[in-house]
Amino acid sequence: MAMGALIQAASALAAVNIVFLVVLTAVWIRNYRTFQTTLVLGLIAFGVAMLVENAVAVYFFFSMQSFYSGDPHVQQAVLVLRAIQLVALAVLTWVTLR
Amino acid sequence: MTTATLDRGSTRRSASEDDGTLAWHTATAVLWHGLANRTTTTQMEKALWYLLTATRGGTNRARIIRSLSERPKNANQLAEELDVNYRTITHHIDILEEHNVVEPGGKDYGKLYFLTDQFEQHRDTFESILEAVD
Repeated sequence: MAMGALIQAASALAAVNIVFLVVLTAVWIRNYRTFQTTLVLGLIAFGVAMLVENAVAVYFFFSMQSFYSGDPHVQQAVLVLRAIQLVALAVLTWVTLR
Repeated sequence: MTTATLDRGSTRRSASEDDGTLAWHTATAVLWHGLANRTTTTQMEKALWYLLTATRGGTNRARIIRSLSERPKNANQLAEELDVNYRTITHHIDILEEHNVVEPGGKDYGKLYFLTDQFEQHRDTFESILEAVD
């Protein structure tokens, strides 16, 4: 069965989120090497947890399509959630790289 | 006589009301001032934690602050001393200025940059952030 267009879009957004999170976590790991503060350790934990969250989301989109195929509203909701997270991570990445 | 007593009584009452109002205003002013001060102090501390440890440019910003602790310098001197691109230095200086960590000593090209009094009040935060660094 073909993957729904909305779920495909959600997977693409999750992939972009993963890119942001890899960049953020890399910056924080480098900073942890320098400063070794608990704050940065917390930021790394945050980044890793969000990475796992997005990876699990992509896994669900690909392996459990029967979950989403029945109801287009579910697909819309999933897409909206990924999009909002994308905005959040884009802003965080921007202020972190400045 | 009766009127006079009443008048005095009413005067006294209103005076004590004024005292009460004054005390109330003083209390709120003290509380408000305390809260406002608390906010500004933690703001500098938060700014330092964010600018130095949470962002990509943190290490260079820390080096700039450490170098300016010796004496005020301009962007060119900082670029040369820290062996960092001039434009990178001015970018970091702008961000440090935005967060009231440094301030320029003039308006001309080549102006010197100073650490602010606000920063100096929280130098211990800066030192504790740098504790683990060489």
